[in-house]
Amino acid sequence: MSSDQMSEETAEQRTRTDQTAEQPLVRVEGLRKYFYEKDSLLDRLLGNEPVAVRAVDGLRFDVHPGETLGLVGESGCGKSTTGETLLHLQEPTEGVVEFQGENVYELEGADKNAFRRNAQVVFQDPFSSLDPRMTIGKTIQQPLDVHDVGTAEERREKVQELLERVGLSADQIDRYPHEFSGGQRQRIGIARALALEPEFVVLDEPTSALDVSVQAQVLNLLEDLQDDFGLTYLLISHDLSVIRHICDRVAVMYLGEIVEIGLVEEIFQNPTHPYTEALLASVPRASTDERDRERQTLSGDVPSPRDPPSGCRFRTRCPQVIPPDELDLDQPVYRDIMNLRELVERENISLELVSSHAEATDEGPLVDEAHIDEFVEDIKAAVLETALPPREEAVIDEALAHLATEDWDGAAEILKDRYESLCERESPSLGEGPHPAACHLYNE
Amino acid sequence: MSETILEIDDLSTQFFTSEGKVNAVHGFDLELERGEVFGIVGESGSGKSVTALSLMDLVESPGRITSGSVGYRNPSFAENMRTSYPDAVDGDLVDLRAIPEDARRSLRGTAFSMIFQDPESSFNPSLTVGEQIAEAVEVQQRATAMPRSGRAKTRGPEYSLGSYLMSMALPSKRYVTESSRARAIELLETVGIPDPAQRADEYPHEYSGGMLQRAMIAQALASEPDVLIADEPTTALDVTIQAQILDLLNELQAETGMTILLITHNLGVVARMCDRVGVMYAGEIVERGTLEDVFDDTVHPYTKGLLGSVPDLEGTADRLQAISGNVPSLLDHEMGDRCYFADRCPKAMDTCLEKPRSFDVDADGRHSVTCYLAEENYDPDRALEEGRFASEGAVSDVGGDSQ
Repeated sequence: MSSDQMSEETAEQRTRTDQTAEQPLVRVEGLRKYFYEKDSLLDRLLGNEPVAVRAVDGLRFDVHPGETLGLVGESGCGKSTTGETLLHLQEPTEGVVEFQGENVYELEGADKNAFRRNAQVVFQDPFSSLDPRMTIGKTIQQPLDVHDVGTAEERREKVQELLERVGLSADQIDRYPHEFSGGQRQRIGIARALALEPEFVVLDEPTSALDVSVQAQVLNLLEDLQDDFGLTYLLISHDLSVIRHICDRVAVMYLGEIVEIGLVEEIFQNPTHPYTEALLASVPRASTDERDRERQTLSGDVPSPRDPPSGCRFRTRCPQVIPPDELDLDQPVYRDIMNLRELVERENISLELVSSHAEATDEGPLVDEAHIDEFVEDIKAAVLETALPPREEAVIDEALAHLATEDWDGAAEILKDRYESLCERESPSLGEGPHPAACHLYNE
Repeated sequence: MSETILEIDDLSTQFFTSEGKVNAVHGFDLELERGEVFGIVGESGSGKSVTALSLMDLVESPGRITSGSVGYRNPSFAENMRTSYPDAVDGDLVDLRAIPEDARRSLRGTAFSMIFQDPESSFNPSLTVGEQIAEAVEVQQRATAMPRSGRAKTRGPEYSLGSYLMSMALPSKRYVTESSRARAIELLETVGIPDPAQRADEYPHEYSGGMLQRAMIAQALASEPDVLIADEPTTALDVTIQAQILDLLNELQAETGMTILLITHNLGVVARMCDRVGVMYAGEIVERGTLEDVFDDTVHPYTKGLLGSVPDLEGTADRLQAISGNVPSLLDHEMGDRCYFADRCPKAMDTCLEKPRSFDVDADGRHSVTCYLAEENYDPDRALEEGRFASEGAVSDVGGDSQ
């Protein structure tokens, strides 16, 4: 994204905040976090270019006081990195996070301590996030010690109070983590996060390591605590039913970007982004109607964040890619052609294996002049799933014939000329309003 | 009722640990019908996976199958076994626990196949995916070629240790025969791997999680098994990939007519896939029946609790109906002879101190429940205070309730 767009967005954001009377508790603006591979000293000496893994790539959202905002997405979409970067547990690559109006990354001294007190986190795995050599009392008391709250006696009392509050008993204070079950350990993690009476808690997959019956206990507890202490939550989860149950608003992430954000009811009942739709359709429901429920599954895997697709990142799997205006194609046919293009662009068809007419030689063309037609037919049979209309077939035949001389670029060029979609040229922006979606279908 | 393919009776598997005997599975009964998908659902520690391992005879020390029979119906196998082990054969049914391990092993990977939860750790990282599937093909071919030997090891010059080491050292040397490799590529194509010929030569780390799970399914199908045991086949995957894999399993099942025993903790997956369901708790099936019986006419309080714990995707229930407490200890000396769910059960009665047997809920005997509620009409006044039965020594039960 260019810097012009950035400043434009910032300006928009400002006017928006001015309009809302209520100041958001957390305001995230253009947040980016890249991890670099091949970035060691040796790589630099050898002149290797570092490869950026774009874990989080330009997020903008607000968290309002007292609400629960959900971040949902598949593994590798950058949910957890967002949570960690937001709390400054990771150094951001770019962007601003404001907590109560102050930039978190510029805080120092007492202000920084106050932020650390006010923003806490509960981690996913209750088995590795507690120190096995510390009693749970010590674990919970540690933040109080660090921030020097009250006298030793008061701290211990506070810990006992917290234990009771999260549904454990105060006399368990001197026990060690291994004596507790997964659900109980997660309660300990929650007690520790609440010790400093924070306003904001990031819950990073708080129940994904737990069984459903225990998950229900923990979710109920989290809701009670929110009511009692007026907490604001950022809940990170891959489980859509958990999100639906506990969140007020939800942001759906795909490959480091937010594709849709809005009220939970809105998103679940009227999803606008094709990814959100597919995600919701994929979840199997625990009811007897499930077997007959029609649903469309997404094909393929999530692309690598090292080299994300141009334009809309979801376009390689999207069941609703927008064809160029002059073409009149059914979606399955267009999808099929787009998949073929992807394979050609990535030179990902093993020609010798697909066609018996292709023979690897040291020099000269791969395929004999006389057999080019059969060669093209072989590739189409192996790669395409739908029958093409005659006009498109002619274009594709022409393009694939280039592969006979291993001219991948030539083939890609012909295909691009005819089939390039709006979705790959322009990156859709997440619009304004209560329920924006980053999709060209929606923005038009 | 169609023909049963597997009749499991009173199967028990115990682990002998320093803390005592652990009853991972006890008194497990199940009849699988040919061509059905049966789901076993339960929480972690309920004995689902150990059940699967027991059926495959893969339980490792300190665990041991201590009692029970596993009847497998297959006329030709019964014929083979009849002469050597007449006691084990009853008609077409062979009791796999009554024949020696050698003979039993010949079924593993041929009549029974298994898909494991974590595809990344189930493949050998130093062999290509194609080679590993080809090896499974080879196992099946040898078993068909020498049915009487009761052995199905990969033997022959291609599969010797020397050949394996050569294939490591020399890139041009293959560990598998040409024909098994061709079959492996065919199988990869069946499970929807694009460009299978090329992907067969790639190593497991070059595959994504979903692709690797497909490859594992291909490997399991190599032998055209009668029974496929799928142990949490989609737990390690994202929902969109999970949906793909479930669709694939459904298609393959419809094509080949194999029987699937699906083990999962996910009630949604069960609802999507299964004809019949068994709910497992503390090593035994507490409720079983058709999907409709178990989901809509639920009787056992544990099943009710499990269904109530799942947050609803369609609408918001105000509060989740959590089951209080935790899964009980399965140590033999702590279990006692009573209903194991009693100390978490909101409807526990005095009667529950005696171990309930399995009661039929309806006349045709398809829906059965191991709970006194199924036997007699329940009077709420008989319910005892919650936690009344909690065993005092168990640390894990204190304060498990959030209410």
